[in-house]
Formats: sequence, structure tokens, C-alpha cells
Amino acid sequence: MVNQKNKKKTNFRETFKKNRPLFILSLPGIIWFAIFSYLPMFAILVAFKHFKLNGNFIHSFITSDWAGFDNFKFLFSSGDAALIIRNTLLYNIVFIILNIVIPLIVALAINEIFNKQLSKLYQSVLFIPYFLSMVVVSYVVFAFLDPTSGFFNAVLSMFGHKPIQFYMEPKYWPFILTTVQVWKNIGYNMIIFLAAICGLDKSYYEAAMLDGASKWQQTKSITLPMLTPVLVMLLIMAVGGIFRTDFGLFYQVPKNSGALISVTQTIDTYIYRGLTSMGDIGLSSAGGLLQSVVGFVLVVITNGIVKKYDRSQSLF
Amino acid sequence: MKLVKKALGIVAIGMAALALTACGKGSANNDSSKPVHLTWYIDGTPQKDLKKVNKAVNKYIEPKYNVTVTLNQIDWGEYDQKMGTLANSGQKYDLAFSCSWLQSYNYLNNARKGSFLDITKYVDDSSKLKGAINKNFWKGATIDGKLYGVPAQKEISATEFFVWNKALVDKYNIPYKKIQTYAQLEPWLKEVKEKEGITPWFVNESYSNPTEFDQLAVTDGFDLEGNKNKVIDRYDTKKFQSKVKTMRDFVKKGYVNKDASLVTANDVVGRKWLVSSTQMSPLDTATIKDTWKTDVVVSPMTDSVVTNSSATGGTTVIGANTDHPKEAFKLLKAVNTDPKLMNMLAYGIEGVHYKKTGKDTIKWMSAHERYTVPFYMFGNYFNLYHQDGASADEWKILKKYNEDAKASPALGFSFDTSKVTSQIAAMQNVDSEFKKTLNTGSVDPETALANRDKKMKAAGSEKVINELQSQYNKWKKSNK
Repeated sequence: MVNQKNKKKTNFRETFKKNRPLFILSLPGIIWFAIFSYLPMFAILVAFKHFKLNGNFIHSFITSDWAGFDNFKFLFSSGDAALIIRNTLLYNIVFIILNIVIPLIVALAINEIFNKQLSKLYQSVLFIPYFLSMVVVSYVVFAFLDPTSGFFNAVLSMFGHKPIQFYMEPKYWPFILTTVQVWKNIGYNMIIFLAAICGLDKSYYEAAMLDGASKWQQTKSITLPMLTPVLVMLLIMAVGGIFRTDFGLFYQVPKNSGALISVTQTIDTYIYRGLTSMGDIGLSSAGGLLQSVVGFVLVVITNGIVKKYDRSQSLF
Repeated sequence: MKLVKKALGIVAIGMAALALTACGKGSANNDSSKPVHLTWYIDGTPQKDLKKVNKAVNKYIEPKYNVTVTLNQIDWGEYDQKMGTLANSGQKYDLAFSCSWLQSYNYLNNARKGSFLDITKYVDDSSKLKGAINKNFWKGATIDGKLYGVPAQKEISATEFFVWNKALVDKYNIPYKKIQTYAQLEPWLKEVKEKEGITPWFVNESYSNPTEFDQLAVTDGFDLEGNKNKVIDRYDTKKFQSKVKTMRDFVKKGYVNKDASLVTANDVVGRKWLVSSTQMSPLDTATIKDTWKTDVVVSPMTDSVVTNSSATGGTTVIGANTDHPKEAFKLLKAVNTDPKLMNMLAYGIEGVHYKKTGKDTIKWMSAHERYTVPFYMFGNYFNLYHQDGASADEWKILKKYNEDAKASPALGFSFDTSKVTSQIAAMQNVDSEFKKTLNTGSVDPETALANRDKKMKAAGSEKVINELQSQYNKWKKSNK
């Protein structure tokens, strides 16, 4: 966490010589980003064009008419714009908080397990859902919620309740979607936290134990403060995606049920539903660009706030 | 440093290659003695024997037409996306399958966007091809007066059929051929439900309570049973509204499965049912029997209607950036007029995949499973041999069916959506909110229809209807 700016200005060549192995290690990533993210970047201008094909892509791009901000209108023209933005932001804020708090608690708990084999088993079990496709997850959820033969309704009918038509009742879905999202993603952040905890200097704990600190006191005063950089980094990264949603979660898991649209419609599903049949790449680029710009602005703001409080913990 | 330079060099070479392939104009092969090589993209599960058949096809067409072809088959799930990307990036290819039911590689949108070659001139010059295919196919494939593809001559209408469980039809002596309306259907649903104790009508999420209607923008279009020249929302027609109300009633009475909005067509397998429905042609009964694993009889729910989208259910197009437009068209014409070539593409190699049992009848051989492709990927059905078990006059039946189908007044008219894209995007969203639940009787139709109407208006449906109407009026005037 040494701040680069406080150091004497070094030229690129010296920095490179000093960190040559690190540069070489990052080279594949740099090339990948250059080719797949920076090289095609000019195409974001498609969002401002009435794209029409005329020969190859670059030629079509140059000859297409400029559209100004026309392509962005469709996002706000429907009466549902407020609902869509509300859903997108609220779900994401809840997800960002839960995806930091819950994996952190689980990581702290798993770290305290003495039996290494059991600890590994828990980690793997919690990590597996992360690798499942949302389409598969949607069937798992359906097995629980199926109105006729679902697990929940079977239990309900055992107690003499009437079955619930889950796919018709919007009120349950904020909870269902949040549960599914957290269940699916818990493993990833948990592994990051576990790795960070393992890297902490053991001597702090030894000193604390000598002073008679309890487990809780150790966690509160050593582990958590030492983990803040990781926490802050994860938070800033997550904020960048605040205008994006997991399409599978909001489209596949509710089985594209129209009755649930008031709680499952987000920017991504709106763009998908509205544009698939038209295939207009100008409009879809506009949607994507808006998501990126909002994410970028929020990352800069969050980073700025973090910087104000603690310079050394900001990302850039 | 050396390493970085090297890496940069590699990247630079890569980019240069990319730029070259993207910008370079490949020189067309004008040497007439050398056969021209074409690429052709088709949709479907990649077949094990595709290469073998491809080789045999080349052996046949090279001396006869002086062209060779590579058939590229892309799996169902990926074809649409991949071809859409290919078209948007301006890649070169010669022939490809497009149609009205694909999304990003949709026939109408891509023709408008400029992805396809305008072949009007070629078709007009070839009376043999033009005469071989029913004129309504040509009309349906015409966009703003221009042709961009050759439609496969198959069933011209996308009609929804009642599919009846034959065992129960026989048991209760149901006069299924006469049943078209829900009112005619109800007494049989009631009887079978009471006597068999089953939910008689299996409805799935894609069911749309068919009426004779030509949908041109979301659900707006022309009612073929009402005023044929006035644009209207299908959901505002009396016939549709009474149908969804009856559907709700059927759900309440237990005639229709309650989970209709969540199940797909194939979920019918393993259930007990009397009747269900699907979009098909009169010749598809055998396929249904196969996939539904039940012996069935079928009857159409509505009269057959020819619309632009039903006529372009399978269309072969020429890529706009092709280097060999003439040769590509020559092959396309041959596929539709040369029976030997069409049979080879559709059925495989004689003596390997099938054997001939008569002049134009065939029997599958064991290798058949290594090469089964949908015939509409290629062309004219009427040139195909009859499969074992098919009636010898099947093409006559199909031909009559196509000739008898009612043409929509808007056949040949295509809506230019560029002025109302935002509205249509919003309307698509409203439509998807209500489509499944309304059509499957899962919600109260009165409130849902009112809600839908309110939301559609908020999304700008009136503007779309007006635009559609004025474009149609203009087209009608100039096409009298």
C-alpha cells in the first residue's frame, strides 16, 4: 500500500527493469484487454448512429448517419422507466451489501474450523453453485416452486394449506431472487476473504492472545481492520456494475413469467425483451453504453469518497 | 524490453491481419474455366455425414454448374446469434438460411439493414425458377418491391392445428374434423374429463388463441375476419377477447392444465390428454406422433392464412458482400429446380442414406440417422422423392393447401419501423408482460386486457398504429 505519488518520479524504463517479472506476468492480460476491450472501443460510437450495413463493418460504420441521442430515447420512452431503474438499483444495492457481509461472516467462521478436511469440504460445497449456469439454477428453483409438484407446495399441502402460485405472485420474488443470487455467489467472495485472512500476519494474534484477547476481540480488532483494503476494493468493483444485472437471474429464474414483471424487470431484461425482434445494434449499444457510463461515474465517485477518508485504500 | 517488442510485434501483425481482412476487397474470380467455390450456412444439429454428402454434392455440381460449395451447419441454439454477428460485421459468405422466425438473423430486418443481396433482377431473368414456386411465396418475400431470397416451397401458411389423442377420439367417437371453435370443443372436454378423470386440454406457454390475423408490429396488424384494411391490435378484436375469456373459464372448470403458462410443448409427453395444439402443416402428423409419443389425428383451428412471415418460414439468401453473386444464384436456382440436387441435399446419398424403391419413392437405410436435415434449409419440396409410408400424392395435397390458403391483404407489404423503434421496444415489453398469462387463462382476462390496453397506449401504440396505417395506405395505392 505504498502510495506511488509520494515516491520520487521514476521513468518508465526504470520501473520496468525493476518489475520485469511482474510485467511479464501481466502481459497476457494486457494483450487480452488491448485486443478485446480497447481495440474495439471506437465502436461505442455505434450508439450514436443509425447503423446500416454497407460493405464491411468499418465501411458501414463510417457511412451510417449520425443519430445524436435518438438511440437512447427508447430506454426512457416507456411508462416503466422509473420502475426499471428502481428495480435495477435496489436489487444491486442489496446484492452488493449482502455479497460482502454474508461471505465475510462465512469466511470468518470457516477460518475458525480446526478440522482442515471439513473446512475444505464446506468451502467446496459453498463454491459449487457459483459454477452453475443460471438456466440450471432456474430448474432447481422450479423444483422448489412448481405450483403442482414443487417441494414448497408439497410441504404446504401437508399442513393443509392451499398451494401458492409462485410464478403468479410478484410479492415473493424480491426474496426469492435475493436468496438465489446470494446462494449462487457466496462462494466467490468467500474465497477471496479466506485467502486474505490466511495472508494476515500470525504474530498479531499471538500478541493479542498473550494479552488475553478473546476470539471476538481478535476478530473485531485485528481481522476486520486488516481486511478493510480487500473489502473496499470489492465494494468499488461491485459499484461499477450497479447498472448491470445478471440477465439469467432476472429472466431465466422467474421463467420469463409476465405476471412477475413488476419485480423482475431490469435494464437488461427490458433491452432484451424490447430489441431481440428488431436486431438494431444502434439501440442495444446505446443501452450498453449507458450502463457502462453510469458504472464508470459511480466507480469514480466511490473511489473519490474512499480517497477522502483514507488515501491509501483507494483503487486509483 | 526485447520481449515486449516481440509481443508488440505479434500484436501489430495480428491487428494488421485483422485490418486487412476487414478492409481488403478480395478480387473476384473471373476465370470462367475454374469452378467457383461458395460457402453456405445452414441451421440445425451438425450431422455426422455432412462432409460426405457435401463431397457427393460437389462431385455432382462441379461438372454441371461449374461451382463447388462448402456446407456449414451451425446448431439450432447458436445459429441465430452467430449469423446475426456475421451479418453485422460485414463478413463475406455466399448463401445462408434466413427466415421470419429467427431473431437477430431475421429475414425482414436483415434485408432492410442491407445484409442480403438484392436478387430481384436475377429472379426476374429466370422464368424457370419463378414459375416453379407459388407466386404468394414471392409476394411474401418481397420487401419494398425487392426480393432478397428464395423461399423454400413448403406449407405456405403457419396454421395452428388441434392435435387429438387418437385412442380417445376413437373411444368417444369425437367428430374432430368438424371442431374449430371452443364452443364445439367444450362438450367433449366435459365428457372426457368426467369419464376419464383427466385434464383434457394440454395448453403450453406458447399458445396464442389463434385467430385469422396478420401481425405486423408486435400484435398490431390486420384482422382477416373483420375490416381487412384497418390496422388494429389483435387483443382488441372481439374474437380474440371471447377466446381468452373462454380459456379462463376452461381453466376454472379444470379442462385446461393450471400450469399452462410454465410448460413447453414437449412437456406433453408423459401426461394424459385428449387434445392439444401446435403450428404445423397437414403433412407433419408423423413428426408429431414421433415427438409426442402418441398416435394422433389433427384438424386445423382456423382457415390457413398467408402472411409475409408465413411465406418466409424458410428462405435462402445471398450475403450482401459475396464475391460471386452470379454463381451463388446459379446454385440457389439449381437447388430449387434440379430434383437430383435437392434430393441429395435433403436425403443424402443414394445407396448410403436411402435406397430407391420406385421412380420417386425411397426407403431409409441405416445410415439415415447420420444425415437428417430439415428440408426447408434448402428449397423446393415438390422435387423431393416420397419417403416410405408417405402418400404418393403428398405434394399434390400440399400444393392444393398452398393454393387454397387465404392471402392477407398486407401480403407483400412490409412495415418500416425506423420512425417508431422506441415505441415498439416499449410495446414488446408490455406484450411479454401479458402474453403468456392472458393466453393460457392464468389471470382474469377482463382486468388483464384493460391493463394491457392502458400500458400499450402509454408505450405509444397509437403512434405505431397510425404509422402502420399510413404506410399501408401508401403501399396499397401504389400496388393497385
